[in-house]
Amino acid sequence: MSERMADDVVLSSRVRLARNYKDIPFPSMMNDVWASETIRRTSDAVATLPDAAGYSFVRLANLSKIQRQEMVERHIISRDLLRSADVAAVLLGRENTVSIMVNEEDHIRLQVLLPGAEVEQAAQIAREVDDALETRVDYAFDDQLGYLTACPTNTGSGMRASQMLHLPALTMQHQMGAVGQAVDKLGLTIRGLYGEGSEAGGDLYQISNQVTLGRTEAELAQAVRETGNQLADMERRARKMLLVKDRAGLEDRLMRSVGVMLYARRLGEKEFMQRWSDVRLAGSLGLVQVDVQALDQLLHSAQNGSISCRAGREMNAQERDEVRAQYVRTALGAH
Amino acid sequence: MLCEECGKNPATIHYTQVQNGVATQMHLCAACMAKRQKGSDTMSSLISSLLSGIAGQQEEREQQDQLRCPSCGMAYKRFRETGLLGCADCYKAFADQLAPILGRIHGRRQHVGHVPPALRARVSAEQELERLRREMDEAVAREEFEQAAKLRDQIRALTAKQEPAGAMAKEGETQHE
Repeated sequence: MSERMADDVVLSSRVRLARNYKDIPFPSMMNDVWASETIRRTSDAVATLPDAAGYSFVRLANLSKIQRQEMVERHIISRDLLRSADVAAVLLGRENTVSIMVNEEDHIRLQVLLPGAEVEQAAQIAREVDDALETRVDYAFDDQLGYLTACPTNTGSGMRASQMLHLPALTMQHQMGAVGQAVDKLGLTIRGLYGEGSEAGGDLYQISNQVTLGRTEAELAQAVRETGNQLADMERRARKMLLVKDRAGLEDRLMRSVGVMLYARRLGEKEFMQRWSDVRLAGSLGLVQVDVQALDQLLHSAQNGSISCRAGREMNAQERDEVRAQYVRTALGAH
Repeated sequence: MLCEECGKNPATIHYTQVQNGVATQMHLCAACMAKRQKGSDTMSSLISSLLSGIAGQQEEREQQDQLRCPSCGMAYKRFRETGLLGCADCYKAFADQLAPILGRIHGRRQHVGHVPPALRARVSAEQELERLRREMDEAVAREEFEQAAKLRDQIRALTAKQEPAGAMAKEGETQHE
């Protein structure tokens, strides 16, 4: 049952591995010559992959600000990569599920992003790509400490496994504090949608492993999957509770949001996120017929960067909100 | 291993120096290391007083801040401020400072995950050795000396096979205590 129902709570799963070249200073201490060298080595290694033809290479310096923003919104690159945009690059493969970021906090951040509760599958793919690359390059590795990373919090496996969860009912019932404590006890952390320090817009949370040293990759992925499943079950129970307590009240709230998403003429980003959460919950509870995949797509495609990117230009806030409203209407099949 | 410079003191600082793309392994004692750095006198006195452990906490912290990674030149102070290390060799240069930090973060000290393909044979042999040693200790504890002797012979056979790589790994290990 968990399997079949998974996508009502778990939106996506992600695994990322941090790697550094043995003989090159880490990004915070390297000059532009070294930066070009890490890019050259990485793209050369990727060129030897069996599916190399499926990879595209992008230098961030060649992208406009809105194009970069759009990639962050799609979670293809991290926000941190923007900070080193002058010397950063990314290689995208397997239909954008694999992204190899170069010169973020570490030389290489290999990321695999899959929809649904597939964290172990993501770990498997990450391992395949990592293994294939590693036959070509020498990473900084220590027998005792494992893979050496710029920040000691990533040392060891260098792996961060995570799942993105939609937890509106637990949020409405003010249970996120307790959830946070429970997750912490299991050696995991929970935070808002766009990683560290961000607010949980759209009732979206990300759980990920806290420690990386002294645990195998399989143990880490398993811990995230199991915790994700537990939170998903808690969320489903909380949803039922809400319905039992005040079905009409809940339906009224959610259906108002459905109305706004279908008919509004201007939608700000913050309001969009709130309404989006309500509509997704309404869909999961069967109150409205909604294509959940299309809705999840909207999560990034209706954000500021993506809207400007499609328009091909910067827009003022009002104009952008109008375009967003229209885009959302179309995506949800209204007029 | 003895210091490559003076040949008297044990080498406690191991690092790779990269010059014009050529990497050289360096093994020095703290005093010779200090001499290689700018302002050798202050450095050596800083390091020696740090090692003797007589400095007060504040003083110790200031001295720690002065420590520099010989490979990338990053000062420990910068790590304290940014939380980021400068290169792979920083893990050796700041091993004493990092050990408690890593312990606090991860609660464990030994990597058990994925190993680079080229090192897999050696690392898995080390894990096998570790298992045999544990079993031998247990056999001794149970006073099963015949079994313990068998295990000892297996350990000897494995160590002999591994000699060069094994010796290197031992050197490295002391760095992280």
